[in-house]
Amino acid sequence: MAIREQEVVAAVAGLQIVGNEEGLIPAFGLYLTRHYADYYNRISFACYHRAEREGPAARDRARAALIRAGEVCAFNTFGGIMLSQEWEAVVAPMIESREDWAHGMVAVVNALGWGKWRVDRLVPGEELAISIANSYESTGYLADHPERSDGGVCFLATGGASGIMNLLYNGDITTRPALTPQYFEQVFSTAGRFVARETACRANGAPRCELITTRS
Amino acid sequence: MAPMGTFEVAQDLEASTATLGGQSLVFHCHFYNCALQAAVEEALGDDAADIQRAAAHSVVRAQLLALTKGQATDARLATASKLFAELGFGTLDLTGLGPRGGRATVKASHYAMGWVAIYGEREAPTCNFVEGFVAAALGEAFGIASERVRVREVGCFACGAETCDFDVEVL
Repeated sequence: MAIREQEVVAAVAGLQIVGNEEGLIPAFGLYLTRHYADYYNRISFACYHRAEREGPAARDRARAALIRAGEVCAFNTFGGIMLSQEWEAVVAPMIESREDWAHGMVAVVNALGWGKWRVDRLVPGEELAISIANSYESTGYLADHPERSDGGVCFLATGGASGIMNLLYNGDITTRPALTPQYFEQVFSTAGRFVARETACRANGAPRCELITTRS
Repeated sequence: MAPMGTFEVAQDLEASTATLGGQSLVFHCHFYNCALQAAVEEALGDDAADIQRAAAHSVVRAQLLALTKGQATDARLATASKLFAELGFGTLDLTGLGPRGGRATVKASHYAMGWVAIYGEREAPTCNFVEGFVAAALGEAFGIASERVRVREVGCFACGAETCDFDVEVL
């Protein structure tokens, strides 16, 4: 593998990503925040718990909506990063194959404070298996709630994992497309798009959270 | 420790985590912030605003307790404003607040500007996170119990106002 993850993490973590004179963080063609993990966790889990009380249909709708927010994140943030000058400077020189784009993106994720992601398996164009030692979602869940008997809680990570595959193998981020709403629909809503499932979650007692992404 | 402007964020590059004042911090963009808010509003309806306020209040107050230890009241409010800006939420003016409440204002609100950029204007104010942040800042600065502070956004950029304005009441 060509991507030297520690170098990428150190480079991204060393960027001075902090609010400017307006209190905004324009970066990668976006406005970033350095936000509170437990803010996201508490509003997401409040939403999910209520839906669970309402029944399976509401639960499935809530899960899909929370994962969709993660896909929106992946499309714009991961896409924006992969089109950025910083990517060109730090990651692009290490890239030797399309798969290295995925490994490079996971290396960048490991500088975002989201917990430690690892690519366990990548079958080009077919499957991506990612596991996370300490996803902020499962960590926050276990801090606030009892362990669950079933149902993973890493909604953002699930959307992020499918996002990597959709950007690389359903769309083609390597051709530097414009990240428009139309392109989002093309990449994330067409038949045969990639869908991620959380097959193990620390909130259920698993040692790591595991995400499998395959075509729908 | 990595400097983040005024504040020093403890970054653990091995664990891929970052903390400040006991709170885990993660980078996210306006697309995710607004998409998540939209999902929560869709699912929780009228309760969404309260839940977002409460969630914001809980994390910000715990963090400010750690970051403002030993500071005088004015310094605590200034720390809260600096923190707000350095985290990328906009420019927060808390100088209109006193122990009986008052008015807070945000220019360039991340949430309001983000919402307008993605979805356009909306009828209801969007800065529920900021309401919780302001309540935490006032409560921590003046030592007022959380349940006695009520903050409501009375003008929002996402609704067409120039700035986002917050009425702050102490019960």
